[in-house]
Amino acid sequence: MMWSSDLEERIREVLAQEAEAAREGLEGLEERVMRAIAQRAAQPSLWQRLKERWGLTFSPRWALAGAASLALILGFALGRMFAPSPLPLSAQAGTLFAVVNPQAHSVAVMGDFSAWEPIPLTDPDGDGIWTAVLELPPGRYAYAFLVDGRWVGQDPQADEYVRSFGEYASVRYVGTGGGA
Amino acid sequence: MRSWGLVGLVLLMGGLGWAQVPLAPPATPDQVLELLQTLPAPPDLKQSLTGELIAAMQEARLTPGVALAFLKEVAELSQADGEDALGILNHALAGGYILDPLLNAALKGLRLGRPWSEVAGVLKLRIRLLDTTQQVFQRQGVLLMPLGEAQPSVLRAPQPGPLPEAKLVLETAWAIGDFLVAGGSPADAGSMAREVEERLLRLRGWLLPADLVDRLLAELSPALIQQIVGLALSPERR
Repeated sequence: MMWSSDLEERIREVLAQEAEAAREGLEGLEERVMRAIAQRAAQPSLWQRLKERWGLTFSPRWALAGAASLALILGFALGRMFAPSPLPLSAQAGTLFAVVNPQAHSVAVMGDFSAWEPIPLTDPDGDGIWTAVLELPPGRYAYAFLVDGRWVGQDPQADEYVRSFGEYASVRYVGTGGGA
Repeated sequence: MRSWGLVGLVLLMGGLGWAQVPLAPPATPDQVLELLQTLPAPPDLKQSLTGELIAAMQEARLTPGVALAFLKEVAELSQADGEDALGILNHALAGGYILDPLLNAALKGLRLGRPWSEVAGVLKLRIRLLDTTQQVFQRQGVLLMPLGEAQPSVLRAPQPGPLPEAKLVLETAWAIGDFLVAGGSPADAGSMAREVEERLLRLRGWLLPADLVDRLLAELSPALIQQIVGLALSPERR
């Protein structure tokens, strides 16, 4: 029995020593934990850090614009990969002459291919896009549009422009020489 | 972006079912000669024109539709202006040149409502440039003989249209003329040489034979252009 009580006494002493040693670590533990939590909450996020460093601001409008731009770029990229190559609007297909003018009442094209006689362009659906497709042999052709009787010599689709009698005329190279 | 715009436009209209617009039915040489006979002009001039017109239309240097449109405009001019116009036409026909661009230039001016004197001035400059381009090319060995005397070589495959040499003279003279008519300085031979080179390179290998263009480009220089322009604008030639 004596041995047993000695042993119990010894255990109690050891536990007391351990408790004493642990007390130092436990003292102020709650405070330290709370301080650490508070510090973590106060640390800025990546966005906040970027915002501070580069002055970035978040705006739903800009986010929408960015998303739309991204979608457009993606659309163009996909279109470029899968769309047919620009149409060779010459030879068998004919040569397209087009004027976009919703206000016009009459549009015609005239040039070297018609002895400068006006050929009417049409706009059957009234969307303001006036067109004519002419079957022209390969060659270099000067031409101009007449929009409500007014001379319009500079076609954005032309290969070049020439000027005579004080007015511009457009020029297209039709056929294998390039151009529409 | 330009080509994309065009593709977009084409696709947009694809569903609308547009069709090709046929050009006006071609005129016949007989229509041209008949109209010529109705014009008030000296009989010898008409006789000369008849022979030259027949030859030019046969050689595809002149399209009957363009000739007919021009003569219709001549019929609307005063008698003096009409005779002047026919005289200019006769001179150009005798030179063996390709005539469609010349008559189209006249038609453009008349459609713009310009007086005949202004139109005639441009035509005379164009013809002088055709004359002197041909002369200088002969001197430089680019052309072996005057266009009016040139015949298709027996060694060359038959040509469906005008002689390539005639096209070369035309395109060179026309590029120079475009520069001058637009108000460019006759002294700026460097710019004109660049215009000519650019024009010929665009037409090389499809509208103009590559070997002929290369032969000219080897000789082309501002000095050569200055010779052509100097001769065309010299007072004794007016």
